[in-house]
Amino acid sequence: MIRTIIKREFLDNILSFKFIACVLVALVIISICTAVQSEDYRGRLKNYDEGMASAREKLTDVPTYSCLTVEVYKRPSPLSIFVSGIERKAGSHVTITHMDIPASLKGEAVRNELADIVSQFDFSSVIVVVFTILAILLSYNAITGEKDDGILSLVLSNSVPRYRLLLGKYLGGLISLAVPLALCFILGIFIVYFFKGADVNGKFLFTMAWYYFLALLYLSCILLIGIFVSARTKSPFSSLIVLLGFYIIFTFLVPLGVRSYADREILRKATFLENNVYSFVDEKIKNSEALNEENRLNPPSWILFDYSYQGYVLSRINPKRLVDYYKKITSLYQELNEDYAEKIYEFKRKDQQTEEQIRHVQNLILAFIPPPSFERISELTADTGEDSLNRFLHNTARYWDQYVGYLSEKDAFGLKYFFPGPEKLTPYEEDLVRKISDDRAGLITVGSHVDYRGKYLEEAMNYKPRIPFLNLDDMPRFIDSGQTLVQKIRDSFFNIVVLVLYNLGFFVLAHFSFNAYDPRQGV
Amino acid sequence: MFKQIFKRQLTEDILSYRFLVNLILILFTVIGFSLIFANYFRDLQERYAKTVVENDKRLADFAREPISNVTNAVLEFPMEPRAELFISEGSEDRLPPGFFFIMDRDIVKILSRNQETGGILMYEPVSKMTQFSSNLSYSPDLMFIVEFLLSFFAIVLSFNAATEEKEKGTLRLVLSNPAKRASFLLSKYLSTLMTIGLPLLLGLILSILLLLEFGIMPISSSVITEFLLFFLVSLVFVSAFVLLGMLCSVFSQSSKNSLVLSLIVWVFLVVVFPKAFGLILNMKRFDIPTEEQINKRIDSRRAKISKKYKDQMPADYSSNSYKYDRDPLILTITAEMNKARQDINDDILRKKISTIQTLRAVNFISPASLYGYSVSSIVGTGLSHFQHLWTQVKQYGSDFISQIKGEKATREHSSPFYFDYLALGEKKLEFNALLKFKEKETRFGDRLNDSLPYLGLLALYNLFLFAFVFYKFQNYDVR
Repeated sequence: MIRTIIKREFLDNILSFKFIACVLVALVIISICTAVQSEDYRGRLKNYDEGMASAREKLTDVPTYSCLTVEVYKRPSPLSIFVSGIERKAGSHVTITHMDIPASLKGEAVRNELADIVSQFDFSSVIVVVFTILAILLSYNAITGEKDDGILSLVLSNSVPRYRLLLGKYLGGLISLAVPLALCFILGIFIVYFFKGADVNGKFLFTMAWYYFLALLYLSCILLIGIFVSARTKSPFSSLIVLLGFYIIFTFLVPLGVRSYADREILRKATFLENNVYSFVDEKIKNSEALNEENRLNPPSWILFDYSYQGYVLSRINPKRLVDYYKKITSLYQELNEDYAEKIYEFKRKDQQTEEQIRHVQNLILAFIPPPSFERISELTADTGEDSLNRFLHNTARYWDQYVGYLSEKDAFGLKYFFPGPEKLTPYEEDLVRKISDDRAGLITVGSHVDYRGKYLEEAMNYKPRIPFLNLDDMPRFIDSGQTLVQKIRDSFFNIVVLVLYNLGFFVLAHFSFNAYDPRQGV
Repeated sequence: MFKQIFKRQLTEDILSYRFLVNLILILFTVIGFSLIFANYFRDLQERYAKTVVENDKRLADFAREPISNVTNAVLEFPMEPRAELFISEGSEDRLPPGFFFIMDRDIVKILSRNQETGGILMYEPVSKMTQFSSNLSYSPDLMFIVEFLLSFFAIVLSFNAATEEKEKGTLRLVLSNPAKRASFLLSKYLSTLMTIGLPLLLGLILSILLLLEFGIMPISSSVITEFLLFFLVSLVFVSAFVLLGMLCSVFSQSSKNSLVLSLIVWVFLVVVFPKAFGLILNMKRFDIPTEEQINKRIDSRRAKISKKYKDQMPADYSSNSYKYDRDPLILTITAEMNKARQDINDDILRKKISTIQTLRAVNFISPASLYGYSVSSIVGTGLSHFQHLWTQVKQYGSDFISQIKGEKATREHSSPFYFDYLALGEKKLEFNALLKFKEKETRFGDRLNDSLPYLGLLALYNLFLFAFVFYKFQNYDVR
């Protein structure tokens, strides 16, 4: 008997106008979105590969440690084709120097800053918008509709227990959702494969299968809510209006309120860095001035810099005393720098912790509202949300420690920081240094330091010695192993459990309401 | 006859359960949103005040010791927070926060949202505004209430305009009277519009009172005009949905079908279309050049400039020597090169803005988007605010430079005074005499002008729908 009900329900559903309209629309949007997003993903992947290559290349011609910057790229997640999350907006890489622990990504993923005001529709939005509507449309007249048509009394007069009828209705609805959803997933995967957006491998398919299951869990929850409301109301109209009212309130209004409240609280409360950084910078400048004072060189002295390596490199034509000065002072400065980088990072962490706390409460609240909860589950499954960004930044902070450890191990902040090549000057270089030092008329005081602008300047600037580049083979490399499926499940466990509980709860509620339902017409 | 139908319809609507629910929902939402807004707005104002103080400090430093402070003289100009943000935020929280002006290079750039820190000495604060919006994100403002709740309400009130009366049999009765079909339709339309307008009006009054209570907005004639205009535009928008609901009703034979149809239409026009068109931005032709490409472009422009002056260049000139630092020709070239860089930057920003405008033009299918654009242009928030600020900051930058030049520079050509900073001299500048920036509010007429295309389209939408409904209803089978 239950099979007959499921079959009838399924056939009824898929032949209806609403079903065909919604599914067609979903398919059209999904094919456009997925095609566009896979193209976009390919672009980002290319960006990632090129970035990695250029970062590796940049490490081959570093003359001094002052020119060393390490770029670390964040690998785009293949599932970002389906759940774009914040990945496009957040940026693509961080630049790591010994002076700073990064707390945000930069990059060209979104080159048009103004494009942030336009959101991107994607697969997960189709589920939240179109499929949710479809689930509502399939369930709003589950009970009341049958009553209106008079079928309900007829069916119940047969020897079908009510719970069987309910189960049949639920399963029929679920199958009518599962089939088009599967169609959409297959279409999406096919488009990704066809456009060669991402590697369609076992892991990808497995994650997609898990995501399909989660989507179905979410839709089943909506379906059960629909059946429950349908069993509580007298006419299909009121049932549909109540459901859609709920839909607007819980898909848009409440999440909007909660999210913007959280956003703005973060803006208000996570200001530790903002409030303290300037006094800190002042203190730092004072300290470094004091350092300068202690180690002050006796004027006149002059400095020539070479700018050809994307950074300041002390030219090899410089007085011995200045070179010694830098040898001494960079390591002193470095301690200061590292200290401050760590302190600033501490400030940033404090703000981040405030932010994380507020977000935690936000996510906890939203976990109890199916649509935003499903959005979060999607982001966690696709690894494209804020958690993914924070994890990456966390890893870079850990990497920074290794990196700075490596630098001090290599004694990078002695002479090798600014001054390229062997310590000893060649006879020609020594000669040039002496000539410039003797040319007193060419020395000009600019601000606090002395520049040389005399007649030998041209010769000195045009002199390009062969510089041995640093060997950075043993530098620690950044490794970002993505999330495994188990980790993803663990992260979204709470949300999933709530969804499962909702499913059970609403089934029981629907059952009780239906048991007490009066199937007579006109009552 | 018209009056009677109108009266019957209005009383029926107002005494209905859905009206009450809608009213309560709107009032609660207004209260909730204004609570969120009040805190946010105060915070924004504090931030804005802080940047003004910071700018003054930098200017004062600069005036005291022009040479040593010219490199630090970077002035920030964030968008001034307006109380009108409560009407429509226009995604202002997702736009770049404003502009900055680097004095020694005479350049105006966009303030970036996630600035990187270049070590502690070159510290640039990371903007706390780095909050990424999810796909289905909206701003909590009055516009959202109208766009979502009221349009939905309009559909719910009008989906059974014709079908219900038919099902009940009243339609036949009504039409058997000498009333014209037109007057029946018109009275339905007007009464539905009034039923929706009433809660909106109450919500607006409540929000004005709340904003007054929180001390955010002083009552002035301009504010009242803005609210009134917002009310009118909202009515035009909602009327489109009333007509859409009626259209669906006229098209379908039963109320059930009509409801399903009109809801699908609603979801499309309000939720899907405004968001889905964002995908267009991924097209190749909207690509913005990368940092490298921009630099390449600047370099090629510079090469062109130096080629132009090649003959006049001294033979022994090299960029490494300081011999020609104050040479008029070199200063002219530097000035031109800086201008070229500014031009390229401006070009790119213009392209970015035009991309968004193209997107808006494509998006005209959805009345919800049209409504959003017209409201944010009328109250002067969002993209139009950003654009106006841009022009003002650029004007300020050039005024400022010419003021300094007029007072200080020894030569005409020293437009960017970086290379000619010696020309600034050691003499102090008068801080009070220096130009200060104050964002001017755009004129009301200009704002109206900005919104006119969108408003016009919205009105056309209405007219078209009305004509269509009218025509269809004339041939409607009442049996």
